[in-house]
Amino acid sequence: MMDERSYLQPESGRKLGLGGIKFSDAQSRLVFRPVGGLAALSRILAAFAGKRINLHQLVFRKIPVGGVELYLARNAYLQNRSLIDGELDSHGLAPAEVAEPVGTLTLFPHASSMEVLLKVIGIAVGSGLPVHSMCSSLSALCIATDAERLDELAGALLEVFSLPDGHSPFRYEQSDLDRRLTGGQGRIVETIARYWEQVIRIYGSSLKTGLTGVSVSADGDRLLEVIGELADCRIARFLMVELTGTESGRYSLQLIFDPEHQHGAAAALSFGLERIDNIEYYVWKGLELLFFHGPHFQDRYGVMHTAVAALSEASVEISSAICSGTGVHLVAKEEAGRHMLDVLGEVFVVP
Amino acid sequence: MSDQQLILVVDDDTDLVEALAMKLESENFAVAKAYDGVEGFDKIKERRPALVILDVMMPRKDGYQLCDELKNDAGYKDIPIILLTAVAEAVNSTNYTHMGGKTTLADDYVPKPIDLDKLMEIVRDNL
Repeated sequence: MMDERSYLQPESGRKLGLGGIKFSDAQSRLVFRPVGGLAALSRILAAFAGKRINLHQLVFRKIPVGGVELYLARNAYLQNRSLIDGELDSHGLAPAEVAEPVGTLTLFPHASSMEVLLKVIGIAVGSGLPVHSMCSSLSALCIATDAERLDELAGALLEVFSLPDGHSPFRYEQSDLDRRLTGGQGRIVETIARYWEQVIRIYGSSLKTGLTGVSVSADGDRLLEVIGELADCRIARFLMVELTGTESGRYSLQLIFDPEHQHGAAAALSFGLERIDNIEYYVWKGLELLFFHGPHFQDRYGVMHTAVAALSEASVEISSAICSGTGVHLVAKEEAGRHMLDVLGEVFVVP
Repeated sequence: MSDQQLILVVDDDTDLVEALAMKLESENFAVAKAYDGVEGFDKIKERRPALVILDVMMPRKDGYQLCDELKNDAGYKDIPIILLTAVAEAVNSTNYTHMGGKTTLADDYVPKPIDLDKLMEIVRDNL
């Protein structure tokens, strides 16, 4: 096995190029663990959608430990906390953890490159900085850490990645139009997704089947060994990733890729993971991944709630879900994908 | 590659940039990407595109400002610009109307959420 850290270094001094990095404003991180299935998730999401509070990011997972993790603007949470808590309490739900302020660093585009992904995970986890979560959207990887550590995390990543000259600033800078429309305060909202419409407009969706997924639970050092095994398998592209850090110092990673062009990768990966002590892992075959995206601007008033409520009502089982960037990824077991697509086709439309 | 026309996509929604790039590349266009108006202008100076797809609401430099700069520059005024307009009737602002958009010199407009097939028609019509 190659040295588990060598893949983190720029090859021959050449850094991998990215398009940009963005920092979020201060956020609150709410963790519900354990949590039941989609019905429980639907009730959680209803508490926010009902108050028209955007979620910046959301992860739902059933294995290895069922849980929901969501991120929202800190101000929005603080202003509505008693209402949200009351709503959740009425359903017997309460977050196991509320961490604030956190911030998310978004880097893009990842180009579905496993090389980029593994370097990002390795640097983030290996940096010693808190990594609360990471998940992927169509173009970006979004990493949550403590709000005051964003610059440090960016610095660690820029040891291995480069940005173009004149790249967008990390923190939001108002344009003239923004200043005119907001009187210099805040940001204009591109409210195009109107969720009081019966059917929500999205850009498009795709369903992929026959996929391979790996779920791993490990501490930081073992996770870096797992990253090394993934690098050894030379899987070129990933479809979806989510990583969650827990207060005990363990990480839970879920990664999905298409084995069609990676013959033998699943077997090689299982063989490699078998050799690592003190980790729990599963390698899944035949997974189905439904992806859709639209002008959500981070779950504008309940895209995830709409999707989850519809799926829950139709008794569709999903094993995990991510809402990040302007997209939603839903993972299900074999032959459930078409049912997901049919159900969601009743509540979303491509214009 | 040399006979592919280059289209520049400028939008701060990185997922939308990616989706548009994938669609354009599937239609045999080469694609350059930028995430705000300042980067957009830099990309145009770096390699002249055949057409620009330009979001309006962006940080640092918005689409109207970049459009004005390009259309008032003798070297770039002939590059077709298609504006992506996302601000809809739901925005309560007396300062913004679609008329504001129509006073720019952009060559065409596409409302968000974008119909990708419609966008491709408009792209071909303007090349």
